[in-house]
Amino acid sequence: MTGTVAVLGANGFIGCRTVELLQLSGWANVRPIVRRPDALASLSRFAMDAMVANARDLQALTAAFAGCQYVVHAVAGDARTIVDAVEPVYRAAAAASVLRLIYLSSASVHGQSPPSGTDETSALHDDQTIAYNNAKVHAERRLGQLSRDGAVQVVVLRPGIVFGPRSRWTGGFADELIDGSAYLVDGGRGICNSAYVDNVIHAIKLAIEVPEASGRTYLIGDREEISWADLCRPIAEALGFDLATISIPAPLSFAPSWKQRLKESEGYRRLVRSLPRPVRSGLKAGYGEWRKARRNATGATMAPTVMVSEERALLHQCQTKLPWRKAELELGYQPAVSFEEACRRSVGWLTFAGYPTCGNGAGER
Amino acid sequence: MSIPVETEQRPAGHREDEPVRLVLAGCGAVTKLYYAEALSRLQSRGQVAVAGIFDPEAKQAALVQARLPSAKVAASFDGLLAMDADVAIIASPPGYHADQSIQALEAGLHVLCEKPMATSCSEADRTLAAAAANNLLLATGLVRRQFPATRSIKAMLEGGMIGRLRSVSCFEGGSFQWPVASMSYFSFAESGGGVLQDIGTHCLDLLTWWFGEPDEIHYADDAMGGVEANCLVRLRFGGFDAKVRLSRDWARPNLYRLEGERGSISWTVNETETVELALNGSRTTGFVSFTNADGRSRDFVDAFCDQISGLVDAVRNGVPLSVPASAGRNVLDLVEGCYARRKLMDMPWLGPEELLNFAASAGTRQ
Repeated sequence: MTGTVAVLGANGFIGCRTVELLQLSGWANVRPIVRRPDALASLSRFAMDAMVANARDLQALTAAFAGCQYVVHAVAGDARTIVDAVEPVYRAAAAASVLRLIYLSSASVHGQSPPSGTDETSALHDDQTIAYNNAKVHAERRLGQLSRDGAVQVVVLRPGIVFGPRSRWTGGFADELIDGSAYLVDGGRGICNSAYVDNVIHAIKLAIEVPEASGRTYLIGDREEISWADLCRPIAEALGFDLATISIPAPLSFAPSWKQRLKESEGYRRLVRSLPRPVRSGLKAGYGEWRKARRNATGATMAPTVMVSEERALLHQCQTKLPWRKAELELGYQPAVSFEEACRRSVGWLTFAGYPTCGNGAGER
Repeated sequence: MSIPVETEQRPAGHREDEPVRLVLAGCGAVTKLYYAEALSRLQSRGQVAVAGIFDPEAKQAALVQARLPSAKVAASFDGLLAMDADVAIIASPPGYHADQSIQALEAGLHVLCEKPMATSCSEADRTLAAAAANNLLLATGLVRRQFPATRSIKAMLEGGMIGRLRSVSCFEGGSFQWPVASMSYFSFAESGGGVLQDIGTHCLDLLTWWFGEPDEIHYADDAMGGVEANCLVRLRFGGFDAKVRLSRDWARPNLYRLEGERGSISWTVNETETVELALNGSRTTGFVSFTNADGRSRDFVDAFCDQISGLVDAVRNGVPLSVPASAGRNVLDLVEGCYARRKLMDMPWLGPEELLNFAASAGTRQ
């Protein structure tokens, strides 16, 4: 492929792997774009032409997109960021004469547990209980309005549960297993609409290349129909945990505890981010000490601190495999990596990252 | 190779009741987070007087001056050295450390240079030679040696508390959040490397301080044309192996664990006063807190204060430096030794096409 692809949000899990894969496969020139210089730490292992630009800053984005024919919009963030970034990104792409913008939306626009028969033509709702879903719906709608001027071609991709190295579903789940907060509602028997990250990137490449994709929206997923237990089992086994021990019944309500509300509040997150790393490490270590001392004093076992989220509970009870037939027909999409291979690579990354997997030898946990 | 002998001890040349005047180069992250506060504390104790500060970006210098109001902002590094001072703290980006240290030494100032003291051993040797030639003190910023916790670990090891060591493992890092000002921080020219040169300098310094020089070095990282974000160091010290895993992209518990025949010591990275000690047979695992002889609690900024005070004491009273620059040179030698043995880490998530393409392009570059 000739041309330069700007990857906006390049330090995020999908953005980072997109840059890595496109760079190493030699498929295109890649320009990672991040919000702050420190976000380039991981990507700096490649010699690349990176740029710093805030996704809400039209001028900075226009400069960052200069010379790029394609933009992959992979910015993560809170609901407000998701919506607010759409217009400056589109207008900057137009100002920089970008040909095509690939917007990474999410299958969550259909809800975490969509009804049978859901596909790209299904109506979207912005009154869902999960703010992320509504934000993605608003972002898609706004992008649709903006692209009516025809200045930039737009392709929207809606991947399902994107997993793989550095994802919350892989590394995050491993952390939860180790710290005792992992759970699977109803044993994780629900359908997981998985999309291994490399398969999503395969779809991004097709969305760039296929002329007819302009103006269209595609659901993207893995070939296999798998359950949440299938997704989590390889991680649990690699770390020596039994999934049966983390199964919980479906909760009857989702009234969050004060602790959960505090942890999920933007103010708390901002406060944590504002602390210097040594202070954060100290607080974390102190909390760990306190928990340990409390356990020793009370003689309690490692009781898991399980806080069930509505999002996860719905996901774990999903009964619908979302189709990617439209992507197959129009883009020629076929998942490039099997689920089995995807799990092997994900567990391989856990070993790389220093988790106490069988591959890292015993006694290191 | 001959290494210049540095001056570690110098006759007292300063009245004890006068604050030592110093200047500071570099108003970036380490200064904003630590040096400014440490200097402010030392100024209030009458130990130092900050005469001047310099940063090529006037805005950064102004931010630091707001916290050190008595300091004048120099328009250039030469202007900073022309101020009336005895000591220069070099806290600029690593690529400037050697040249600015040498300039300061040649201008007649004692120097405390933030780590790494240079981006190569040859630069470090030039700096040590300048200190020796001018009969001035050169200290290096290996701040973790100031922690009561790390000093206590050294004492426990020397006292044989956990017996002969069997293994050591260290994990350090996580998502990179050091507030760097520009992307150039991630260039080899500017920083002399990636995560190994950065936090690895602290880690390897502690290991060699505790255990001496390693007999064997094995090293791998994930750099593919740039600087490494992850690395794995395996060191052989006499009868045991040390495994060091450093990362800039994914967190695991930041922990050093030393396993001995009679017990173990665990230290959480940057915990200044506390270590976890477990002794076999005692059924006891506990957190032990240490303070320095003065009994005062030490936070992270206090460690910077102690680092500066060490040089001030040496200037005033002629006492030896607690962390001489030779320590900075030794760890630089070890970092270079790692890079010289560099292999690519196993990255099992990369597809065959990616690995083949990378191998081909690496071959082309060579």
